[in-house]
Amino acid sequence: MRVGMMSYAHLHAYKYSAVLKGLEGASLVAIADEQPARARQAAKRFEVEQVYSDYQELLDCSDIDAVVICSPNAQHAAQAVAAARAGKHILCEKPLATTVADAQRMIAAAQQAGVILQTAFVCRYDWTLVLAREKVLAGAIGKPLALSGFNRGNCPPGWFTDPEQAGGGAVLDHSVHLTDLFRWFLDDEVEEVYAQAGTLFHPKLKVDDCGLLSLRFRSGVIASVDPSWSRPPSFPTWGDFFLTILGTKGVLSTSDARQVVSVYGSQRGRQRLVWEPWGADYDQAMVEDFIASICQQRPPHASGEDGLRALEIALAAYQSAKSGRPVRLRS
Amino acid sequence: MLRAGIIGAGFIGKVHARSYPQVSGAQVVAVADPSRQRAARLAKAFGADVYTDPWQLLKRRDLDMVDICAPTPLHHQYAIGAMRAGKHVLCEKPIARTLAQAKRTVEVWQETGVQFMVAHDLRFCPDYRRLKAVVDRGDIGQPQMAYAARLSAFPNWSWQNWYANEQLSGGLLVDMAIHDFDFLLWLLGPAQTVFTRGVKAPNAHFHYAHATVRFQSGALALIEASWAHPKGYRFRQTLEVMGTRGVVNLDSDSANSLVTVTSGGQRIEESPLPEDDYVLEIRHFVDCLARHQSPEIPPEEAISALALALAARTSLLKGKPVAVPEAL
Repeated sequence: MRVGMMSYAHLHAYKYSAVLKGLEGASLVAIADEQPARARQAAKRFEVEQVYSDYQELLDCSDIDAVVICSPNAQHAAQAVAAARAGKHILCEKPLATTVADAQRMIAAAQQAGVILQTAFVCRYDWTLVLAREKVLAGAIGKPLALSGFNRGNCPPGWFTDPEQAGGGAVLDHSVHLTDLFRWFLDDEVEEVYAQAGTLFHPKLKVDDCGLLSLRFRSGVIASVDPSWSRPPSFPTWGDFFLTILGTKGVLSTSDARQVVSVYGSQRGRQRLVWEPWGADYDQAMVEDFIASICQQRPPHASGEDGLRALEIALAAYQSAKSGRPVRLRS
Repeated sequence: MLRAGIIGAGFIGKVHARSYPQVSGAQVVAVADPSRQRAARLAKAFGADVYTDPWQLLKRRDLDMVDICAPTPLHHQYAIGAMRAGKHVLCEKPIARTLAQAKRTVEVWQETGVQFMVAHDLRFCPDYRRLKAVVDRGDIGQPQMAYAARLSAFPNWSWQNWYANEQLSGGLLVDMAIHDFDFLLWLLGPAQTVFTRGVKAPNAHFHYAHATVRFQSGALALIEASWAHPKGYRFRQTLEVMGTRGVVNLDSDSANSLVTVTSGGQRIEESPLPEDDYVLEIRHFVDCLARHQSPEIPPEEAISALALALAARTSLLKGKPVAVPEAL
């Protein structure tokens, strides 16, 4: 399986590249990036010979089977549609797109071309969350009643805070992981979204840096999400990820803050506590699964449709935050 | 030595009563409860007199203060009765069941000139207090977001299960989440709008709710309240405040300084503080009486907490965001 990387704008591209380098049965053969210097640097780091500054040139290579898209959110659609038309399977960073129409175009193009479109919902490969879901499905906490999810991070750099390129701020960036997990755990769709959003931590940003979502699923299960970029630079790590599910017969919680070693040292001369994670590497599992789904010609674990659904919830949250009223999603 | 009478010898009455021996300026001399047996059980430790009719207790001329630990819908009657009888009043939260009752209580308080404090004990919890001090000191910059949780199995100890009767208790938002509503108002200032969702126990009261609050400052808060946690779940309260320059949080799950594991694996966690929030709260009130100072919790703030809790409840029932009324 020969894979090309499309853009290193999203830092996850470096992790995915490293995984691809180490995978048996797959190889990273080409890199395209609109910033030639960034492309050259990545090519050197990952020992890749084919380097392009034009994405279409990479897609024109007939010996490439699949691409990983890590460009700014607003570029996902054009690149994915072009990749599908070129017959390449696609792993696309989340959020899938910045508009519903774009996401639908991507899904349609992949379907038409008969290629896989996978959304990089990496949490679905987190062992803790996988086990949590198995337990919930097995009835360990009875019937789910209410969920709460927290994914608070540092304020990300660069294009993430450019409304044109990112399509939104914290609410879009961080809510999609949790809402995707909720849907995956419950096998249910969100019916109504209420949200607040704001730019409360970094007043100069042109996008929201915080928000709160209150969701109701069709089954009546309710959920809350805090997707804010509220972690200060002094926080021990990039952010946090907590999920709690309250059921009729119990409660289950996951935390990403437990599988870390605490370092009381000085980093670049700055003394602070640092949490270094030691938990399992789920980027590896996700990329492996992408390759496996191509080989086995089966649907990916998180499809384009899943990406669309999470996007719809985030966009409804923005609509609600603007109008001050709950927003019903299409059924 | 101030002479105190306790009205209500149920769960919280017991908690208050056992705190008085640690409050040097006051002694319990009377206890009232419709159940003579329950009242007698509390009174015994102090050699206090027992009443089955609180109004008889209020008639006693030698009482300086009354500590109201009766169910919520009775608060205002006894508070007003006590004030009219010239007694200082410490009243369990919430201040009353309705805003009208609460406002009437405050009016009478203003007329009578006695001292009056609503027992929002969270304001006296050492961890919450320290968190407030950190925020006030500016360590996290401007506080912009907060998350407060109060998670518990259903409290099955209330008299005739009145907690579960939302007409009486106001449900978990008015009875329990009001702790967090009050504390967040104290931290972040007046609230603007609230939106709440909840889950009902089968054919019964709401036993889980989450509320999102926008404050007039623009700050946002998420409040989670649960009576739906499994039996045996250790009560948990957490608070996190996020500011422009940092984050501060507390969690009762990691608040016990002494852990004992015995053969067989039984784990006992304890927090052996010499005085808990109830002792500190009652002592504060008693000290204020002795020094003729105003207590730390102005009754108007207790009304604001009730107004927010009731607005959250209205939102829960209507499925719509609700503007929080100006309390007074």
